[in-house]
Amino acid sequence: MIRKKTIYENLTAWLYLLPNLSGFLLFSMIPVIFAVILSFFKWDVFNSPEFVGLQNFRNLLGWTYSDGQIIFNDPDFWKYLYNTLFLMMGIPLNMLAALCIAMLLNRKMKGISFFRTVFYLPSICAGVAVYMLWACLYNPEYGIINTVLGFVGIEGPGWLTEYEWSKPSLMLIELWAAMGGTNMLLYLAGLQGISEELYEAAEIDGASGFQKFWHITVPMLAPTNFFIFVMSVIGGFQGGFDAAFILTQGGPAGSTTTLSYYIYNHAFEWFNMGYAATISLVLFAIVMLVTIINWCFGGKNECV
Amino acid sequence: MSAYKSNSLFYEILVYLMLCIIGVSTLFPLLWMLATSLQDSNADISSLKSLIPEKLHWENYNTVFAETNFLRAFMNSTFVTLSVTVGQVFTSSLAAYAFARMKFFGRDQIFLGYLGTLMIPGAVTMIPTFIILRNLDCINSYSALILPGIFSAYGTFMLRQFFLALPKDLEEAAMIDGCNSWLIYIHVILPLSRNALITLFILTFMGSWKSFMWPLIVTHSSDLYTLPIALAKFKEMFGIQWSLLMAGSFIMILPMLIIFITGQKFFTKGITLGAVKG
Amino acid sequence: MFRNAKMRYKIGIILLLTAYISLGLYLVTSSSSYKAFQQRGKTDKIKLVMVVPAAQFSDKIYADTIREFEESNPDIEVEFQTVAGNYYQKLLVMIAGNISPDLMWMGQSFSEFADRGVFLDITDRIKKDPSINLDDYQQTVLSWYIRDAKIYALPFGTDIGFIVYNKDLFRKAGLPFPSDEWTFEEFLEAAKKLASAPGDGTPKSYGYQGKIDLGVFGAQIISHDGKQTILCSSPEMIKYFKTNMSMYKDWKVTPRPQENMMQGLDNYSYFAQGRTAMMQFYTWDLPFMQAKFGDMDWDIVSNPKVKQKAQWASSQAIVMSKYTRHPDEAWKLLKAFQSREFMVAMSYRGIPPNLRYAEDAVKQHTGKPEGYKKLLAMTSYLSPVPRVPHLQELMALYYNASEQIWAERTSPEEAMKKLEKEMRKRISESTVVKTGGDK
Repeated sequence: MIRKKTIYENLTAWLYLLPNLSGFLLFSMIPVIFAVILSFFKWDVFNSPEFVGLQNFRNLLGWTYSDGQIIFNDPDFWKYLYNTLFLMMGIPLNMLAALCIAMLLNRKMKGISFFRTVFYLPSICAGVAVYMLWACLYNPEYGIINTVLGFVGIEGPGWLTEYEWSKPSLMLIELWAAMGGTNMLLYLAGLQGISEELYEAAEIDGASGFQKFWHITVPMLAPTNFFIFVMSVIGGFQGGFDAAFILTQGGPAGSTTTLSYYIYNHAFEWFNMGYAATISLVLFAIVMLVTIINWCFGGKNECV
Repeated sequence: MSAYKSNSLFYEILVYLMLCIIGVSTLFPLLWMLATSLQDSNADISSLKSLIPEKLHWENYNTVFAETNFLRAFMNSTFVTLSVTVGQVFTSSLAAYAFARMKFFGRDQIFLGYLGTLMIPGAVTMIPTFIILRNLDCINSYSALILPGIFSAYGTFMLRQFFLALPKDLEEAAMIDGCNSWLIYIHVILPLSRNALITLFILTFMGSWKSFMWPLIVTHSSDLYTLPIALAKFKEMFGIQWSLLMAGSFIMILPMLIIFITGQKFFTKGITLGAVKG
Repeated sequence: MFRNAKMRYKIGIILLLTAYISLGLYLVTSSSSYKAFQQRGKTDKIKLVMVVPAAQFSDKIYADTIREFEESNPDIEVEFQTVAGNYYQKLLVMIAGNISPDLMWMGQSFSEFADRGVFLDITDRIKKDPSINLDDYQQTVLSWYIRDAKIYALPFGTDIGFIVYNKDLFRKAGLPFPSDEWTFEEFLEAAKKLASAPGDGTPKSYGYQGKIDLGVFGAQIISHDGKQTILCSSPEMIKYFKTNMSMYKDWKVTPRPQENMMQGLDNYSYFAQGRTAMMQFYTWDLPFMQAKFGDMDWDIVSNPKVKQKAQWASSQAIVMSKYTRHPDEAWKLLKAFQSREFMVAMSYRGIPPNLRYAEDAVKQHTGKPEGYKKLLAMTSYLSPVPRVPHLQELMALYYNASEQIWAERTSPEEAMKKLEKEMRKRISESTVVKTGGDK
């Protein structure tokens, strides 16, 4: 009797799960396994795949030592990894901006919800349209940014065309688009979850504004911080394709090519499917490693 | 609720001032987009004056629709995005319901698998998915655009967290009334989780509407272009005509603005779900 | 009341659903892949799919030729698709995705595709066909489409790079118009004078915009003889980089590469506004130049000679896919793009490689540029794009390296030495069978 009920329950549950699970298997699980297999092959789609063992990994990660200097087998990979990490330096900046805005909004004043909506708008619009817009704003010839800089006597750089400026320019777009977005709402919810009494108690003890912030707000927001940081890092490692593809085509001199752009190039421009799969797996390994490290040092029990 | 109580007028003005500064810096580029889209195509857009166009050239919007296949792209985007969004909300909520409320063999293991895939970069699955779709003869079709987007581990995870937090009393009452799990799902769970569902809807909608890399890979005929692709091609084909380009961009962001502003009330409540336990 | 609201809600949902489904049905049934799917079973008309890169001016010419073809061949229907964006990449994805067109446009990436074995050998068809005489073709251009004595395509246009100069600015600077025999020293002198001459009220005006082509230095990135020797670190190549760097660093006759119009003006406005007196353009720019330079006085001239005369060159052809199910009909259509009418119509953006037609094109040419016929002479000094299997990949490496040089982040010698090593590695590792093409 009991067994029959269990079987019935199992069946219903699986029925509910089936639509999602089948897609999950077909477009998440199988591809991952497929990618692992692919990384041992050399394949250009047109000819039959050729098994090469660990050759792809050696080409990607290996190095030789000669004349007192290390020569990487694929120097581009390391360069683009550096680019990706460089662009990820915007994450703490974005988080700080989001926190500041959330703190500004965390009060009862007239028009607060209006401001909240306005701040959120850029993150809704993000995407190709926004990159087009910034291509217009950044234009060295008649972009408004350089015009405004011209008022104060600064000759603006070629934002997207100078090697030194291209990455900061992309980071600025990201900052503009993300600072009032989802992260800010998360911080806002976190701030609103902090009990009023804590602040009142601190005030009685004579704590200054900064002390209250440092000893109450920061620790209470730790779970939020942790969640946002982990998600942004995971996103950061994968990001950078759309903006670079539209604004800079990965240039100048490869300064805005990120790992996901590099994978795209190898897979769909040059049709080195095996090698591209290898890069993507290495990227996966990096993301996993960083997340685990985050988990060990940052959150453990603080997240979900 | 406010953390820093201070009733001084000066303080309040300072806060408003800062809010206004941030507000201007977020709004200015968007207004610039709108203003440029209404400029004459030969107008000089390098000075601040052009924020207020002398004459509103609404015909730029006509030109965009007339000279390119923008209407088609708009409809494609609508169709693909709606399919992906509705599909994802539906399948995710079903699976989340099973994860949250049912006991079955292998539940925790499968859920762990779901959690694990949250970490997998899109780039890893992109190449194999392309090859799978190719072997299904799906490249350059709507199914290639829609199918991979329908199934999301994130949506399932988020909704499960929400369903877990729902009180069980109502369900138990419904069960006593003789409702089966499907009726409970329809009549109890879904209405109770309006915020979460709308939030997932908006998030998925925006993600799919903006999606650029995947449509770039799997479509090539112009009658399958989605808006982001059409916009990128627009720049390549017609060179740099800022007024038209900005008109196209504005057309692209308009539906997102509308969706967001309509669903805003639920969205701001729902966005924190599944992120941090309060 | 409550019930009413619920009813309305339901009706609303149903209406939305209907709208959504009808939108979906409309879109799906009108998309080309669905139409192709539908037509799969029908046999009354043979359907050919042809793909070319989208371009404002040429789309119509293709469409006209195809319409005429369909009229004279009522049993064949042609689906003509234009691809905007990165054409070669899209085409590779199409072929990789099992949806190869029957006929496709090919330009400088011919070898990239040929080595992947996606083209049909048409040698026998050409031999049997009396209407095609290979002796009419310019042999250099034709040879680009021959692999192991097998012909895979017939070109219909030769693309050339040349210099366009602003006659008014030359007059203002008191300079004689350049001749096709000019040397680099003469070019540099003129550029220097023009750079100091004021443009049309604009603050910065330059003598020249663009790079002096590497062909005139006798440089080659990868040898043109088909043996795939990598020559990118040759002294000629280094000289090419150093001279071009001096152009903006020492002589200041061209803008710094970072100041280029990458995000700024398009090339045509740059020249039209008098920002530069001379500029590198290509044959495919001709229709745009005619449209955008309006009443300006301009003409074309060949590249200045350094070590030798040379013009950057590539060419265009329509090629048949190996995967076509109707090779005979596709061949018929291919011949339509070898007709006099088509080549002459296309000659506004490339010299016909068929020399008889080229002369017709020169005769028929009116208006700007007055020196159109010079293009025909320039085809004797072609400096073609390398022909190697992984052209896109190798060229991406090359562009990356050269951008580093222009940004002065490395010296030409060092960058090119690294590049040579990397290219050698990529070529030796390539899975593509080097003599491939018809496996």
